[in-house]
Amino acid sequence: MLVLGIETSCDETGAAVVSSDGTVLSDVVESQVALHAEWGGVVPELASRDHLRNTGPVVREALAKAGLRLDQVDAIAVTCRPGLVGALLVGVQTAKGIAWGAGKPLVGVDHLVGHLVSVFLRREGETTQEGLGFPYVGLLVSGGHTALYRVEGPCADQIHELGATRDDAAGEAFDKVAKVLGLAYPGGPRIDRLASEGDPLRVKLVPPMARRGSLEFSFSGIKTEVARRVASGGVPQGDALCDLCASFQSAVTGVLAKKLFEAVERERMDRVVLGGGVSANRELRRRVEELGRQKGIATLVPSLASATDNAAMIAYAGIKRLERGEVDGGDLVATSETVLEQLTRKGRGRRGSSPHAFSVPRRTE
Amino acid sequence: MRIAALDTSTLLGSVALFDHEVLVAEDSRRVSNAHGEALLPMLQGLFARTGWSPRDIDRWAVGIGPGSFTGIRIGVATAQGIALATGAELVGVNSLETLAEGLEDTTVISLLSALRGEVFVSVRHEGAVVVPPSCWSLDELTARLEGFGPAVAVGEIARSVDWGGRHLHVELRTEPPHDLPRASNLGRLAFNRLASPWLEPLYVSAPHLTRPAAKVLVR
Ligand SMILES: Nc1ncnc2c1ncn2[C@@H]1O[C@H](COP(=O)(O)OP(=O)(O)O)[C@@H](O)[C@H]1O
Repeated sequence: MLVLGIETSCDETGAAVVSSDGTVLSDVVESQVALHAEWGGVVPELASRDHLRNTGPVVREALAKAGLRLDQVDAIAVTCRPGLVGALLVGVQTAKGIAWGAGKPLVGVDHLVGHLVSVFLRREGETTQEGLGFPYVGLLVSGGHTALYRVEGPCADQIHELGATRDDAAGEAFDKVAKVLGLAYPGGPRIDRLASEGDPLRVKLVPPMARRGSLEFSFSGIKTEVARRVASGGVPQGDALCDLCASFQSAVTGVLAKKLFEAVERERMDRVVLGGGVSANRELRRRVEELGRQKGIATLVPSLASATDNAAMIAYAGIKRLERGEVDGGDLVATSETVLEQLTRKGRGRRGSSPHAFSVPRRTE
Repeated sequence: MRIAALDTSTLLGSVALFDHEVLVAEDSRRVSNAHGEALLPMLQGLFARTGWSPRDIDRWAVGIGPGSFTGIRIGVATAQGIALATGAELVGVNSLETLAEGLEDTTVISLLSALRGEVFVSVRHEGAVVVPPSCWSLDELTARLEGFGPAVAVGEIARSVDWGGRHLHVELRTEPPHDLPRASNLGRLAFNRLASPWLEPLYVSAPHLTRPAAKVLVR
């Protein structure tokens, strides 16, 4: 089965063609990062306008790169939740139009499910990772989400949350700290680089919610602590900047890795899988692999292109729904909330996770 | 030439099919802000009724606004998806023009509600557009149009305008198809237009992005 996937949930317009065994025939991502950079965050109306302009060309490019005509794909999969509703709608309506116009089945996909199965994708030159299969404990760490799941299969009803962040997502904490330190957006990769030259022991930061027994996270405190240091002592330079980045990264990745393996123990699993942009972080990978080796747990990490937002993971998750005989109709809706059950109560007493945390906009100077 | 027309720029969802300028079928419903759920089922219903298939359509005529930003994008995205699949042509039509279609009067004022009590407006006089699509408050509207000769106003929001306050001689034509943009009117306008490879919405009013209180997502 060949499926065309479409993704427009946030600030990336994506289209990809993937086959049932996870082979990625094409994967096109058009990023809006530059468009939103001057606003210091994603502006929903601008995102929707840009998706509308880009979806058609991105879909055509994905088909061309796969060397296929639309009539050669078997179905259309599209992200329908969670995310910015206006942005999702552009992808969902385009997908419906394509599916109806071409007489192909349509399936809606939850973006988080896509992230959690992205490790199954095989891009050119990649082989299937050893030990891949179900069940596993999945750690989803991206700019908008941070949560642990028991993943029994590739469909939403087989995925159960074990704990999530109560406030900021890990990637969001990286990006906000980077901003405080005067580093360009997105800050995760920059902190990763600087941290590799720093000493994590020279600056003492309180590890975020490292309390044993709870699988919930909280990253807003450590972000505030870094901001307070910068407010009183100024932005550190040179080695001091590298040291601060190293401390921050060590605290965040330390708690992520620790709780991941607490979950593994609690759920009696022998496999862990990462997903989301922050799984590109080298220290996180190193810690997870090391703990996995010590405890005899297989650790599976998607390649960078699969870990960050992309439409290939949406196509793959769609294939898994189609294989079960599930399809959606022309009345498929776009929704801001995930379909996955949520246990963790977010700050401000609201239940459920937003695609990205809300805060007051500030134009970056 | 077979044309399918759709407009989702207001609370009305409207779709229509034409065969050589003859209206074959139409469906219009007040769907409010549920265009995403409603549009494709409405199209499917219309095609089932006529026995047509999406591939029979040579040209998709789409309301590109002004109107609800989200509504417009729903129509445009859907039509672009269909055209991508079938190879049909695309034609974008201004929804204020759709409202006034079919009227021969000398001066026609087209009105649609916008957010925050404002209106989208355009004025046609002796066949020429004398006020291009704009977004004004109701006070601004009557002030700017003061001195306009006898005119016809279309669009159901015209009923809420205090025309008398400025001694404007305006006759209301707000019954269908001049209440809200309807696909039957839109399709008629699309026969003699040039097709374009993609559609850009006519947003007219700037998005309110600069207000510090606006909810913006920051990662
Ligand atoms: N090497 C890295 N270290 C830490 N964070 C990273 C790294 N690379 C990317 N990120 C973070 O990953 C996030 C983007 O991930 P992605 O999955 O695309 O997010 P989303 O789905 O929320 O848009 C950003 O917050 C970015 O800073």
